[in-house]
Amino acid sequence: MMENRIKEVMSDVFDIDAAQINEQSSIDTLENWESLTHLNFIMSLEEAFDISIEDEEMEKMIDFPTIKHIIENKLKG
Amino acid sequence: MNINHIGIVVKNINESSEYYQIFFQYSVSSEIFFDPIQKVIIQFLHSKNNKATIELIEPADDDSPVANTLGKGGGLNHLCYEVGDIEKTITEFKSKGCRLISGPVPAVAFNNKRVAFLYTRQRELIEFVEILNV
Repeated sequence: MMENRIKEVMSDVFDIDAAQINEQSSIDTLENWESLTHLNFIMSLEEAFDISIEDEEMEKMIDFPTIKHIIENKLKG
Repeated sequence: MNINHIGIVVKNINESSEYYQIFFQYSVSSEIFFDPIQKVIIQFLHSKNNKATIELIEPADDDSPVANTLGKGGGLNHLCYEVGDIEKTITEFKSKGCRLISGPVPAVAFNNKRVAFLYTRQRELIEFVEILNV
């Protein structure tokens, strides 16, 4: 499941329990989410889903709903 | 590629400079610079045999890009590599999956030679400094 995989990546990168990730999770609510961890996160998503994320998309991917939306669209091709 | 220096994030540049001089016999290579573009205060020191150069980096304010790093304890931060053509090198490294974080911009500490920071697939922060005739 795409959503669960995203949560796994977020759990690993931001060092939080996946069960704590919800629709309100964002760069403003997760303590360890800052510039370098965001880069690590984006790279981890690219590797997890075998996709390429553009810089413009990376800048938008700072909350859980947007992350799901962008990845879903990429997986659809 | 030649390593120009190793960047180390510190809480207090004067205290850390003294520490490296006393414990590791490093010598001061430069004055203390304020870089308004990077929002940091920096100083370079070199080892006794000149084989290693370290850059001590103190956040200039809470908005500094290294303020978060210091909040997590600071320490080893980046390796800086010397490159001849910085734009060409950035393009090459981006094609290998690296992300450009900032630059190229002139750096006060390098007599306004241009520097750029990238994040690699190995999850490393690296810096390039454009040294002509490398």
